[in-house]
Amino acid sequence: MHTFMKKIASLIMTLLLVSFLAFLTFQIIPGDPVTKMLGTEYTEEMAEKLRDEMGLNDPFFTRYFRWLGDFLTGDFGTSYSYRQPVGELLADKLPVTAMLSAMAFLLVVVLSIPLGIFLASHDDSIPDRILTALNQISMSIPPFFLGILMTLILGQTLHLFVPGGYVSFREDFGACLAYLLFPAIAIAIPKTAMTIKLLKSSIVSEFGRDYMRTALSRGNSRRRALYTHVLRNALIPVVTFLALAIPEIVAGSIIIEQVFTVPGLGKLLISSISNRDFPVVCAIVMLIAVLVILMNFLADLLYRVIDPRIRVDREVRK
Amino acid sequence: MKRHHSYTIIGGAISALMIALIVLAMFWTPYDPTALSVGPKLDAPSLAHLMGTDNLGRDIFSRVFEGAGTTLTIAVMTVAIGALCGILIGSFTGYYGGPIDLIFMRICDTVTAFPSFLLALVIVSVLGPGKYHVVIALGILFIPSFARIVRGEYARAVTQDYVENAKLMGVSSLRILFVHILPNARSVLFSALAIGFNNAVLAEASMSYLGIGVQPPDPSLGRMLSEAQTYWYSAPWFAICTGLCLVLLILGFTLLGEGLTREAGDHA
Amino acid sequence: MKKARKLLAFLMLICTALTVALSGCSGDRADAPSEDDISNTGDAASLHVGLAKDLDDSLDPHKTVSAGTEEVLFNVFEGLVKADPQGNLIPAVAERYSVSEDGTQYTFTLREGITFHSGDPVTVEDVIYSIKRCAGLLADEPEALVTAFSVITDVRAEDEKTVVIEIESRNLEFISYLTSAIIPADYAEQDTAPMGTGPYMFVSRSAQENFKLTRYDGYWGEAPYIRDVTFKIMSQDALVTSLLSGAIDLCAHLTPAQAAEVEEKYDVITGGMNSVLGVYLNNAVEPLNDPLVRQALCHAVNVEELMALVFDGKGAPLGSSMYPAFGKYFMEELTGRYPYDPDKSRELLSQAGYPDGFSITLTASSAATQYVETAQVVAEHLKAVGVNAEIILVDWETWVSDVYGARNYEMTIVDFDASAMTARALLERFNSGHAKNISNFANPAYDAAYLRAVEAASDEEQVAAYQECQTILSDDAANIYLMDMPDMVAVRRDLTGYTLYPMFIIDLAKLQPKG
Repeated sequence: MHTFMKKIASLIMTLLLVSFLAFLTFQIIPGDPVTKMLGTEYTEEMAEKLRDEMGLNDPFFTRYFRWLGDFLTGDFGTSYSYRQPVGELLADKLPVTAMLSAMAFLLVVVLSIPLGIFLASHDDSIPDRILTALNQISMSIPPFFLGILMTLILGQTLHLFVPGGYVSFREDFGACLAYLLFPAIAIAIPKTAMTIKLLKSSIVSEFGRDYMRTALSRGNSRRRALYTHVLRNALIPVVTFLALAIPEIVAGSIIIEQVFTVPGLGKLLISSISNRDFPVVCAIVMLIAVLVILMNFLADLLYRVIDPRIRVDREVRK
Repeated sequence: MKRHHSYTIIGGAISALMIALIVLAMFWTPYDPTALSVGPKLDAPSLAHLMGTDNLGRDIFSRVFEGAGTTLTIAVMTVAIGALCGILIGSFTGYYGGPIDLIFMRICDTVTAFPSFLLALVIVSVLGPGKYHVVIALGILFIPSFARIVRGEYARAVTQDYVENAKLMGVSSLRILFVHILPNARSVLFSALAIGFNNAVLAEASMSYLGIGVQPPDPSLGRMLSEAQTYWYSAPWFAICTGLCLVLLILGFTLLGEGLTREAGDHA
Repeated sequence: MKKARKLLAFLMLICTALTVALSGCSGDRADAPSEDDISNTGDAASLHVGLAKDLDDSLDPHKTVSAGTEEVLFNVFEGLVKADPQGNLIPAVAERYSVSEDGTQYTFTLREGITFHSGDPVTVEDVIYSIKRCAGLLADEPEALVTAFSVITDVRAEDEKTVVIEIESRNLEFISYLTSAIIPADYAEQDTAPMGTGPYMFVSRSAQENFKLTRYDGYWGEAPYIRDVTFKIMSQDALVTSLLSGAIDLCAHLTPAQAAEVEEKYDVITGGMNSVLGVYLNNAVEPLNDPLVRQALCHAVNVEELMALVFDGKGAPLGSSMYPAFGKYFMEELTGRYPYDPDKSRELLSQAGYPDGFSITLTASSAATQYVETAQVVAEHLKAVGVNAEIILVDWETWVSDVYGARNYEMTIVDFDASAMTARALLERFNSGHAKNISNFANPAYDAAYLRAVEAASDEEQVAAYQECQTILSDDAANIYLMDMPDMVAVRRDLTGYTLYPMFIIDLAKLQPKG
């Protein structure tokens, strides 16, 4: 329990550090939110007055703590660009990115686990070789290029979907999911390939272990052994890998959203950065950071629970 | 056994071909990659223009390999920065543990928790655009993953007999760190380098695709791909040639890395 | 055998997933541009319009600053007068108006039965409120939102249908600024939910996603044919794909290359962008402070090749800060002032003391493909005369604050449009004391000519003075004036009536079904 509390404390420390860095970032990068609000025909006096009104002239730490305080109480501020509460803006975009990421993740799990088991139990067969080679190639295709190819070939040429024809989940949930399936596939394919590879090698190496040799020599069938002993152990690294893949999938959706014209967090993040819309950017950054840190934390916990070796390492060092 | 070699051979062949073309492009290209109107606009591939021409009448073949060269340079430098710093940080924190370890790992967590795109954009915005700034931005992003892997290896090594023995014999810590432990971590480092390299190529291409990487008129594969989307109907070769080159660049190194790792595993 | 069954089950799973996906998509395809589309929606059609620029701005017509937002809001708001496609002013909220002898008093009579989208009638109070708000005469809005309105001395109601506006002195261009929107006096949500008197009313905005309008049935003028309009926000690169897939039905501001990709499936309308594209030079920095160097640069750029490469040979060359749609002000003769002549350019550079050329930076915003491509072409042309221009791409906000605001640049590529149909909007900025004099251009003769133009009592006098201004800009080679870019609009084949304006406007009310 002691280590658990320590973990929680370091988690909060990391989040604070991220929030500070996110806030600091916009003090450094060029561009002024005020010029965006006033457009091209502003005067210096107008700009100064607006900066005063928005509290941008206060000392850095005053602004940081004010922002942090508001943030902790659930007030994310008002978007400079859209003049709308940030919470309201994100409520529209978060579900899109969440759905996209969830679909991509499900695809990875649903495709990789059966395929990985299949390849491992047919190690060195012809289908294994072909699929493994295909797997290697899938890992080498950048998701955004895959996205472009899918748009052009599946969308434009084969008319399987309407590129740019995203339908809001508020209007038609089914059509929205159907559209998101394609960007989800583009994100999922390289990740699936990696998971298959990991699972397969994990199973194959489990089969080579001493306890397996014993089990097999006692007359257990390979198949039975696979499902009773091997899979449980072999899934350990895979589960950790998958937990860590979630934040990567979310980050990957930033670019894929751009390719498929999906109005999610990624598109909003990119446009808000170039608009210097700090409240929106800070909120999205914090949202993603919380997700990443939580997932890391979970993966870490999972790893500790499943794999006793880690615990041993630590204790010996102390 | 033979299968492992086939990956190495195919990967090696692809990589060798790509690198040969890229090195060639550094000294000589059929046309000046930035020269306008060397052929008609959006001309189909021909003997004069192996991959056709783009929307400003520039030779795509020359641009693709010049761009691949930029990508390769950036990737190599990025991985070098990430690996060097990562090994330094990871070895010390893994070996000594304690508060330094805690602090560095928190910093690594923070860097990882930041959306990489945002961090890269910030660094590029502060330094100004240009390929060396992309290298710095990506290099920093790559440090945590290397540091983490190295740290894990060192934390494991600390408890092992050969390290304990070396300590008892009074070998200096630096020697233990880099002469005794480092060689034992090489197989892990090896695959990390291959993965890191591919990630670097990917990251550079993605950044350029979003318009914050290499700046025109310097060609870059990512930016060319984003331009090529518009001309899919009239000039599909524009997107295909550019994308294929990017895929081959990554595939070659993936296969090579995979093959070599398997061979190393066989010997062990 | 068992293994095979497992595999089969797995394959079935994939097939099911794909089937679900495909069936969902075939539903989507009903949205594709086809004749069915119109019959689907009953009596009136719906329309999807592609926009490469989000409406990420205040939607308050007096406070919005981006041209991209203004061109869409044209459908929602009207001023006392409004522009017609020829650039003339026609009555809108006002039914008619008259100007006093000395040109200082404007009398407007409100249109009978005109209402806001809320259904409330437009009153003289609303008009006075709107004008005062723009002029900075309200207590809570002390800043003049429309700078040209600072000449207003009084706004008052004569009776229930008549408003009188008084200005300091005769000002021939003042009426052009009365296109500023009339808004309800007691409505606080213009920022996010705009309400005016135009043919379309606001429905919703979703950031980076869409902007929706619907026909206002209480509109005083002719009812538009299209009922529901959805502006879809997407990246430049996605416009062509979305047109070809049918995700959007209409898209303005396409480049000729983009238009060429879709012309087989869409009607393409070509016009001018109505802006002055140029390489703007910081006249205050070495070596650009030397007129000889600036003239040399003008001779070095091959506008014809630029047009051919980037704009498919379309567009109109310019010689000064004015574009052809301005008719009487535009001076065609200036376009030939600096013909493409690299030898002459090198000669001028030697005269100026740069026989081997020099290195310089060329800043451009990555906001528009046109800027990025033009920058690359211009840099190649300059390279040919020994001037090594390093391209620096920045995002739009950095451009506005660093280049436009702080004038911290050497050369930049941008185009300037006219916010109102006045020559003043294009020439004002080159006054030596002007706060937004991007070129740091300073010439007393120019300032004098400009002052004469603004205070001119007659039209001829004003035209002559503005033409003098343009000639001075050209003679001094203040900037490298390139061209008025072509502006291409793709419209779904079954629609007609899309009209281009000499300003930045997307007018959807004029669309009609073909036949």
